[in-house]
Amino acid sequence: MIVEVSNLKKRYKKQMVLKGIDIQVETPQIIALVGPNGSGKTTLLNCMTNLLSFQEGKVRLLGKKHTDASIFQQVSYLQDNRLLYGNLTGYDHLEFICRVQNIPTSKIKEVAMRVGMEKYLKKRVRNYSLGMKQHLLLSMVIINEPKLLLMDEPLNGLDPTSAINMRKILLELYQEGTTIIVSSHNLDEIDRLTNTIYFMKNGALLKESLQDISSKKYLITINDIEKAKKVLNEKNIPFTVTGEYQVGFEETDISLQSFIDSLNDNDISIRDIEAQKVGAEKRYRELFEEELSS
Amino acid sequence: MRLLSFELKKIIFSKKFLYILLGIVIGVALLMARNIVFESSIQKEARERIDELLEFNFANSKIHQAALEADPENEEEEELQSLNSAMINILYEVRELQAPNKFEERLKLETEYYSIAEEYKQKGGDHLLTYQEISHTLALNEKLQESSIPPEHEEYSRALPNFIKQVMDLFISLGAIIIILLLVGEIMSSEFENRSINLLFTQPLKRTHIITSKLLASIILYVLTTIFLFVVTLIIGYVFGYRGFFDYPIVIEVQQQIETLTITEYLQMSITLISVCIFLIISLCLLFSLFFKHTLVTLFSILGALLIGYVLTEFVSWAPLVWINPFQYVLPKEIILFQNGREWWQGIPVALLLTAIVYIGARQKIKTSKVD
Repeated sequence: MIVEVSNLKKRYKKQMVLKGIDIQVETPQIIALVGPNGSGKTTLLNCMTNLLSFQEGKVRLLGKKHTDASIFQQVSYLQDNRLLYGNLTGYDHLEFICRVQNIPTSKIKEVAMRVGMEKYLKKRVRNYSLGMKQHLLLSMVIINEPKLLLMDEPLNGLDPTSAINMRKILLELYQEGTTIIVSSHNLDEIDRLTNTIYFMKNGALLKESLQDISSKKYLITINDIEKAKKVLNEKNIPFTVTGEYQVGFEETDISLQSFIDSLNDNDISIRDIEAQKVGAEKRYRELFEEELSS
Repeated sequence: MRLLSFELKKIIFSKKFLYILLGIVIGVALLMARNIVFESSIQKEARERIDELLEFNFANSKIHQAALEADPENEEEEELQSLNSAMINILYEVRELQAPNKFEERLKLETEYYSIAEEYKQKGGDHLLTYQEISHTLALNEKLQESSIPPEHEEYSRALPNFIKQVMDLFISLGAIIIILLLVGEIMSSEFENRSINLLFTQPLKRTHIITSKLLASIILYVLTTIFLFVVTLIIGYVFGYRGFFDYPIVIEVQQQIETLTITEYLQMSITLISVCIFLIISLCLLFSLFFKHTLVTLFSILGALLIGYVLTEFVSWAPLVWINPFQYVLPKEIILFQNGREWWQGIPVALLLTAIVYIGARQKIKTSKVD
């Protein structure tokens, strides 16, 4: 088991911040943690890495207890850039990681080139822009080639080029077998990165695979919309008209095959079937309607 | 060890460290500049002191004369008058012996003057000098005469050893404590304030190693800063001062007896005692930072503990306290100079013991420390 979080409960004073979180990750994947500010994303990541205590529950990462510091040989956590030391250079930070993790320092240059920060590696961090700091943080968490990478808002402050580069690196890491749990507000980037999204709402976790939701919604292009409307209404099959020659259909009790058969039986020809993609933003809007309207 | 170099780097490459070193250079240079500027006024002050004593002796002479006129048979008064006259004669001679190469004759006359002044006081005469001043000067002069060392002004001397002692006196009179609090007072608390502790806590490191590294880094930085202070003092003292004598005597009281130390011995004792105090402060910084996670609160707590220790040392005269008060070396100068009812080293074991206990406490505390 890569990640095993069971019934994790965290309370700040009297307020319940995490209400019994369960996460099980058995195979490498990219998981996005999405939720409004204060929903508990960072708290969850901090609890998982033993930075915060919690009242109930159990956390195991890569089969070891989360309190065992040796997990950080294979678990990396990208956090807020405030943890960087302004008077030290990027190289100093990476050298420190290499020393404590027994990684040859020759790897520093390699990682810096991969992330694209080799030009300012020897500059003091106090002179870095926000994007440069994010590059350094990324270098620091990937230099040990982790099996599990936790990331808290990694896209903050990144320009489009850097964001594309970071996404490329994350996808490469994933292909190399790294599990990535990333919290982000950037829903477009999340869409490009993964379909597995854990929405956090008031300390609870709602796990969804957008792939699954998407696969149940279809846009079907036909040759006769009026005839199709008549047939579908007669058979009480729910649908929506989405264009001059297009209807929308969602699989519920009636399967896609039955829907197609109903149309074909009435000489309505089908020109195209497209699985409708549900974006993270659309799903977020559905889930957090109240917050958005307030 | 893997963490130690990183901890050292964090402070050595900081502007704060640079400013502290710069402050040390400026402070030592200003002290030497003060000594140079006030050199002439020191000589003037010495002449004025002789004139003041002369004036006082003359006033006494008139009193004795009047008393003898009223009672010519008063033998005690006659004796006092004769001692007073001897003192006046000596002062006239001393006034003529201000050239530096005549210090031995001057010392001899001064010793004679102080001896007569002591006798004069013992016989009921009134004098500006206290018994403590008299006994200290007599002991000092005796040593100076024995070793043929010219006398130096305690606070304004430009002789290298005496100048080093002046710097050391400032260093042990809160200077070292201020430097160490500026240098490493936030070594742990700032990690919590800046969230950089998150970086350390998410590395494959035993948390206790963080405490050990910070303790060692702080001690190394203290040693480096102290060495730097001495090097700067040596350079400035060598360039702008003169050679002097490292066996120059320092008068101390041991069990109500007057004794002397050489400057070398005084420097050794001072550095030992202030270092013991600094080690304790460093370990307290680490422990308090883990509890409060805030630099100002940590610093005020340490200052509070030091203040309580100092008050206990100064105002509570309970004898066993010298064995159990770990904070007695906050201002160690007095402890070296006045070893009455105590030895200068008696507080070292308890201070080192508390340092070890606090360090172990900090190691335990960090194991369960969280960032919230």
